[in-house]
Amino acid sequence: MSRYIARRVVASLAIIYIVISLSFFIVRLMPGNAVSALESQLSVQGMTTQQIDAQVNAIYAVTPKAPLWRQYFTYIGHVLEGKLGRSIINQSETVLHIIANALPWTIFIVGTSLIISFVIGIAIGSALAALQHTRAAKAVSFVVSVLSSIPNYLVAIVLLYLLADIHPIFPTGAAYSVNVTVGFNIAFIGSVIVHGVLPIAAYVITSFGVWALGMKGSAVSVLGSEYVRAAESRGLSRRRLTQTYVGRNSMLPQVTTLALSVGFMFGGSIFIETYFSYPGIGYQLDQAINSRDYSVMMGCFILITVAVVVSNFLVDLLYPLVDPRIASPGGARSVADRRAEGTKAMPVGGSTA
Amino acid sequence: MLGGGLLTSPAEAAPVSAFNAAPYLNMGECCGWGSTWSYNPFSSAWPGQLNDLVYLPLAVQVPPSMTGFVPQLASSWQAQGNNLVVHLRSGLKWQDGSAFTSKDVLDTALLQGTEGNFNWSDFTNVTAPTPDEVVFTARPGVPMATLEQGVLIHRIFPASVYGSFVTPNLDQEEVAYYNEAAKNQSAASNSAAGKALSAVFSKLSEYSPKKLVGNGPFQLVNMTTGEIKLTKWDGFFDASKVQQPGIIFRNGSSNNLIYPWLIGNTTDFSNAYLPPTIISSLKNKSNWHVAIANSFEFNLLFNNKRYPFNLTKVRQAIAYVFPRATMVTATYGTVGPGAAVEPHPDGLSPWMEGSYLTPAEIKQLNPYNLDPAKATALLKSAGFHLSGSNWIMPNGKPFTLSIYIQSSATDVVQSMEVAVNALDSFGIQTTLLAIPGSEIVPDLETGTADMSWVTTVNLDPLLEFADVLGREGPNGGYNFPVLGTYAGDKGLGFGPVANVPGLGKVNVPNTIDTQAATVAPGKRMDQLVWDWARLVNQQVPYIQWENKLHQYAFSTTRYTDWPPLGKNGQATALWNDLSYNGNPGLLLMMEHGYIRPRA
Amino acid sequence: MRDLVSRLGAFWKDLWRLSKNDKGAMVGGAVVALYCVVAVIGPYVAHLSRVTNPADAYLPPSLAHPLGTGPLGQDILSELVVGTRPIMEVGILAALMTVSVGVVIGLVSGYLGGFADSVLMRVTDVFLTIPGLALVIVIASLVRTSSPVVLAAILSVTAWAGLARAVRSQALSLRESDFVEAARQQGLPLRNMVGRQLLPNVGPYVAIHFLLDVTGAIYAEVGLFVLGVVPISGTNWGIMIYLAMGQGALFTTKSMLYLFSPMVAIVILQVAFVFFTRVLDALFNPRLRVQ
Repeated sequence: MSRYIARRVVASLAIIYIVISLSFFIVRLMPGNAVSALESQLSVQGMTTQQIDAQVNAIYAVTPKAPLWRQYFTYIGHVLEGKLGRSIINQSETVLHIIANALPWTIFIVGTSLIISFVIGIAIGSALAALQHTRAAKAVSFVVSVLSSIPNYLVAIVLLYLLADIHPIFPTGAAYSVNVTVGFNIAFIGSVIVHGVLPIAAYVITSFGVWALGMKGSAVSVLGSEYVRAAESRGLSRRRLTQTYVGRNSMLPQVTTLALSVGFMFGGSIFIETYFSYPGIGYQLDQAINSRDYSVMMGCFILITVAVVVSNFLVDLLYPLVDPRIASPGGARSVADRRAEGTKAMPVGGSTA
Repeated sequence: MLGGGLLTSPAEAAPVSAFNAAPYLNMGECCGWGSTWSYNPFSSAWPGQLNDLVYLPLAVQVPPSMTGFVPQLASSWQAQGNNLVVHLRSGLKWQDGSAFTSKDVLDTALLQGTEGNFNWSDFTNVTAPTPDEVVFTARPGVPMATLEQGVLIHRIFPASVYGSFVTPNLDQEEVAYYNEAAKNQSAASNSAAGKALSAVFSKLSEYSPKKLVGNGPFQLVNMTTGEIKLTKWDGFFDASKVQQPGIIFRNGSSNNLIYPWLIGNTTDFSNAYLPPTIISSLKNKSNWHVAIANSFEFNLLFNNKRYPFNLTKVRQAIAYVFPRATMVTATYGTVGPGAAVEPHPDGLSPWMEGSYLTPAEIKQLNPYNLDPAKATALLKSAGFHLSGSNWIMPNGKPFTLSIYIQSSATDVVQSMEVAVNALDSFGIQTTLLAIPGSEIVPDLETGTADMSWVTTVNLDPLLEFADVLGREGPNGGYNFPVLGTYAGDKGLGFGPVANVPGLGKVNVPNTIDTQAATVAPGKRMDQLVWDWARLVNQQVPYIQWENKLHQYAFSTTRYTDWPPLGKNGQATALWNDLSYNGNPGLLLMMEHGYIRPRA
Repeated sequence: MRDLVSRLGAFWKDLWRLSKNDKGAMVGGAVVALYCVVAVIGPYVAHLSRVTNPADAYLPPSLAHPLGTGPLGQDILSELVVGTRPIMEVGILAALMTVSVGVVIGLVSGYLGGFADSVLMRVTDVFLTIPGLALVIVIASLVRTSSPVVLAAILSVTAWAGLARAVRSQALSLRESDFVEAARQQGLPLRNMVGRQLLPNVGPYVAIHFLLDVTGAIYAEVGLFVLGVVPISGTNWGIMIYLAMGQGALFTTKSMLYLFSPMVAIVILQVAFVFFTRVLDALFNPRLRVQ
């Protein structure tokens, strides 16, 4: 078990390291070199060469004139110390601080949406599997497939139009109103909830279907499997059968996917948060891209990736508890394996992508 | 109900500050603010919405004249020889209770100087002999009118908050640095004074205050990515005139967020561009009115160093094919006076033409009305020929044209598509590339594009030319930059030596930069404006294709007594102030007692 | 070779049989085929007018303009038809790249095993972990391209990894099977083994993956245009949505069609793909076939 954990830790750290390096080279080597773009941005603001060099250093934590390899090691060192530099647009804020401000909102939106769509999806999926040949199940199945294949940003446009524009029921543009005091009070919590409704709805509408179809698929295949048939022939009660055998076994892959989706929904949050101007990580990333704020951009990208790595790691840790077979050295497969092998024919509404 | 639209949910109806029975003025703010901001006015992430409403300037400049100002923190000023003596309004206080004095002005000038601001190129020294007097000494050759313009429009920040950033010798270092910079920019940067300035600036730009201490009509209450809430401050010197209990700015980071606020009546005012559909749907509502004011110029800059755009005839031909009238209609529709405004391609906005050129002179300018026949003749005389429906260049290659514009302005994308259609059907294979705005300048400077979109806005007509034809520098020209990353690139690539009507063969970027910095309004300026207007009009280094209109939609549902409108929604003085200045114009409206909540 | 032909024949027979039973899938397949045809012939049958007339903006649907006109008086249907190709082209190209990279890496890795396998799989793990959409948006905004090939390459930058993993594990189990073992003893070269022996066996899985990759790429591609992070040039559905949103088309009744037409076009295509996938799924997954 400890060897298993050690391997996972090493693998996770390796991936984080690679992503940090990648972010350095993306900024340095992409066409339209970001560092020289920054220099030009600053020179347009009327800065002197001296000031520009100092600024570039403060922002990217690199000395622009140093050799590339030295810049690279300085950068890695800084990032490992948690220094992601300063925002280009807002030099009075560190990238870390900007991300720390945005992160809770993304966790709130993504977490809530994930739980709601998972619960709804599993319920509908089980019902579909149980009633698989009925007319109603076919109709619901159809609707679910359609909903889950609509791109989430298009759903966002429609929701915005219906519930924020022509019927201004739900506010957009912030995580809470300017009229409340941040803190543990009813007005603030209420404001946070009403501001979260539309982004959460856009997520749920486009992603619950993925869970429903996944659950239906795995329940159907469990139902058709030999051990269920054997149990059935042993005369186990329908109820016992559903709960112990079918329920548990068909839930297992869904739970794995759920944990994996946590990280991936951070990426998917770019569209949703941008459309509702919701101040999470995705919105920050979009704004950083539009204003070419490379330090914030790479900070968000690193953070999103770390979120994925950490959630994968947690799943790796938790999985042996659910499925003891994993803990044996020979069975020490990573989440990545399970994810890839579990790749099912599922519609792409984008929410888990 | 407070603030309108966002507040329809019960959870938010509760906290309303005690005195405001009247609603806060709700502003749908075009272009808004980003996801990160700073309450440090020296930071580039300072939310511009707070300008002049929280921090006042010394004075507000009122267009179209270059010399008209409305005093704010300064009560008066006069020239004494080489000096500009500015008298400050006495007895003013900041929102933290400290007194407003000349030290605030001095510190602001010193600190802004560290970021290349406050127009230090116009003066050699600044002193504060008494608590309510500041003296600026003009740099040799800089006229007093230029110095006034350069100094008075600045907002002043409290020494109680920022004074601690002023290092003991900063005043001398600043003087030394700018004296050197006037001669040799890079030597100045590398001097000890230059390094000292950089150090101060680095510290200053990283400072992040938790709250704002201003002295304007409003005080900041709270700010989120969605809204800024300002409440009236009774300590403002003209507070009795201010009618609004407070202001809520709503972040219209893209225009399509604002349109439903207008149509749904959840906002009182917007400065966003209004496409024809929205204009006509507002026209059907009795509570909505639209003020239309002239604003900045849209220019398309040729890459004058690249074949075939180095040929004057080719540039002229393209000017004849640009369907400017249709483009303007596509942007503004046929409602209002927008459709009527079609500037002469001479680098000046229509109202500037009237102020600096005589009617006889304007008549001599070529309007470049749409005329494909003239364009054909020009291309043929330059050795081009048609093959099928496409033009072939004298070197045998097809004539192609790439136009780079900003993608965030969909109105510009739309009207440029009209131009692309016209150029295509004329036989020039045109590609339009709309890219995020911050990338336009690199493309322009390094010559990736054949034509790129650049806007200019100035009260000074010579600066209007220098902004394009000048070198990259304080005036922000694009022609043969010498400073910064693009030093050595060609940029616009016009000249550098060219035959300017009236001036003869001169170095274009150097000449226009010098003139813009040293020529004050008067006969000589008029003469020079005529020279440069003819240059732009005859040699077409760039095409001025549209005069941007600001459309201000305002609603009389919750607020009444807006500044009056002229015929057809045409702007009157205060609206023009708003259009040219932005927030300072808003400040003037408030000081006039306009925009009153309905009883 | 004959083996492959008979396999293909059986495949088509099965496909047809299953489609007949699943009307949804059949309609889906037909719609996808229709979109492909439009993408190919679209630019020849529909012409974007070069004459712009803002006075004709937002005309209601008529015989001349079945979907009405846009803000410059242009025919929306023509724009939609012409805009089909860039979307389909990039979607299919991206899926092709994803599938070929994924299959090659998966097969080679699974077949070779050992050190090469470890290295390839570690690389795959990295790409599997990086959130694809975030990386795609970051790269697309930096590279600034309007070339469909480059755009497709960007879109498939991480998408191949999942497939590579899956193909590898199938290849691993195939490697142990009798017929591959027999081929190996005959000394067939690697290319032969992979191409003739392994590929046909992972084919079904790859086919499904391909279709879903197309939908994924279209989702991301349109998203990039809608967000406005890639250059706007020419006409496609994403650009139409971007401009329509920017010009406030959503907010007046007469202009709504300009925004909703491309939106509906995308939704129909995505739904059709998913339904079409269902029949393949049933075909290759006998357990699902019984339902």
